[in-house]
Amino acid sequence: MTEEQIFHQLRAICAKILSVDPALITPETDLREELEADSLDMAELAAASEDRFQLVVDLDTAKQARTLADVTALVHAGAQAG
Amino acid sequence: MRGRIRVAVTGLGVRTPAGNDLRTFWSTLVAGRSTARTITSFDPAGLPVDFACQVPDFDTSPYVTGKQARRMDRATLLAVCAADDALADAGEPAVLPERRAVVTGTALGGNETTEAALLGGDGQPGALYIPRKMPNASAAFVSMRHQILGPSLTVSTACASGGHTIGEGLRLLRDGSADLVVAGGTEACVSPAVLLAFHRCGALSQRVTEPERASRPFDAARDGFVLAEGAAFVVLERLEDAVRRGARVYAELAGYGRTSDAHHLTSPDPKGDGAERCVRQALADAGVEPGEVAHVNAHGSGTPLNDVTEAQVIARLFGPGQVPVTSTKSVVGHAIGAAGAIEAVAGVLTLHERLIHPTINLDVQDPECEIDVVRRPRPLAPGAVVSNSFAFGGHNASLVFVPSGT
Repeated sequence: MTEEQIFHQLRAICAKILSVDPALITPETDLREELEADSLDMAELAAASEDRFQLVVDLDTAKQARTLADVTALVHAGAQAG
Repeated sequence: MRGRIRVAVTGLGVRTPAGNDLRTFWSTLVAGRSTARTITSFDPAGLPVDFACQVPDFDTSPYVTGKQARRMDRATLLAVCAADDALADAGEPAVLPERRAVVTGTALGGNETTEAALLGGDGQPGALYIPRKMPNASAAFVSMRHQILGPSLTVSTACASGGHTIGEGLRLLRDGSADLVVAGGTEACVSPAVLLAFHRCGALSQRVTEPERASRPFDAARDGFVLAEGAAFVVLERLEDAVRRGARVYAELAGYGRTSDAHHLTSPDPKGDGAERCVRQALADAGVEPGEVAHVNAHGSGTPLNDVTEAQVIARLFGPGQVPVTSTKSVVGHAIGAAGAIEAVAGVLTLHERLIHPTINLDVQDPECEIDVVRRPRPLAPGAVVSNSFAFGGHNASLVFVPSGT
C-alpha cells in the first residue's frame, strides 16, 4: 500500500473520529490545533489504525503525531516492519 | 432538634417512550396510551420477544455536537438531554459550582456500546469503548456540561437505581454536601442480547401478538414486564433556597427508604418484608402516617411475583383497597435503571397536577391483589405520594413526596 493510499484511508477514519468533513483534512493539517483533537481522539485514531492496517502502533510515538502525514508515516513504517 | 432540612423538587426532565418533554409525557400517561410496539430500531426476527417501549423521535442535535455524541452511548445521550431539560426547567439555579452535585443511576450502563463491540463487531474494542460503556459516563457528562464541581456519583441497583439516585440526592442536601443536586436514572437496553437474556430468565411478557396489551400490572393475565428505555432527572434544592429565589416548587421530597431483601437474586421475598420495611422507613423519614398517604405509584412491573407481593405489602400498610395505586409501567414499560426516576417524575407530576394517571390493561384484577388500582384518571386527594422501586438483587427504594407548602 502506498503512502497516498494509507493517507486516504486514514483521512476517512480521522474525519469520522473528529466529526469533520474529510475535505478539511490535508496531510499538513494540525489535528490538535486546527481540528481540536484531544488525547482521546488520538488514542482512537491509533486504535483504528491498528485494526485497519493490522499493525501495532507504539502509543508513545503516536502521541507525538501532530498531522495526518505524521500518522501516515507511522503506519507506512509499521506496515513495512510488520 | 427542629429545623431538619426540607428539600424541594424544582426541575424535571424526561426522555421516555411516552414523550421527550413533560407535557407529552404526562398527557400520554393520563390518556393511558400504551407505548409498546414491535421493535423497528433493529431487526428482531428470531427473537422470542420482539417488542418493547422505545423513545421515539429522539433528536440529540439541539443538545450535543456530532463529536460529543460519538463519545456517548445511547444511555448517556438520553441522560444528558433529560438532565439539561431538568436544569432548564428549574431555571438554572445560580449555585456555586463547588456546591453542585449529580447522582446518576443505571443498571446496564453503555449496553449498546458493549454489544456493538463484543457481539456485533470484530471483537476489537475502540478507544471509546470504556468511556462509552462505563456506568458513570452520564454523571461525568452531566458534571462537565453544568460545571458540577461537588460530588458526582453513580448508583447501580438494577431496577431500583432511579429511585436510589433521587434518595441519595436528598441525603446530599440534608448532610450539607451540596446546595443543588441533579439526580436521575437512565437506561438504553432495548437490544437483542438484553431482550433474549431477560426472556431467558423468565421476566418478560411474551404477548407478541398484542404488544400494547402486554404490560398489565395487577391483571390476572399478566405474564411479565415489557422492556423499555429512557431517562428522567429531577433537580433538588433546599426548600428555603427555592422559596427565596422564587422557584416553582413541584413538590417536596420528604422521605426516603432503602432496604434489602437478602433473599434471592431475581425473585422478591414472597413475604414482602424488605419492601414493607422500605416503605415504612420512607414514611417515618418523612414524618408521614400511612393514613396521610393519598397515592402509591407502584413498582408494578407486571411480573406475576412482584405484583402480588407488592399488593400485599400495600394492603398491609394502608389497608386493603384503602389507597389508590397506579403503575406507570403499564404505559411506558420497564426502563430498568431509569424506571424509578421516571416514576418519581410521574409521582411529582401527580402531586403538581392533582391527578392520578390510570393503570392500563387491567381487565380482570388478580384477586390476590387486594388494592385499589386506578383505571381511569382520578383526582388526587390531599396527602402524600409514595413511589416504590424493587429490584433484581433484592434492592428496595421508596420515596415520599408531599405537596409544596405543607
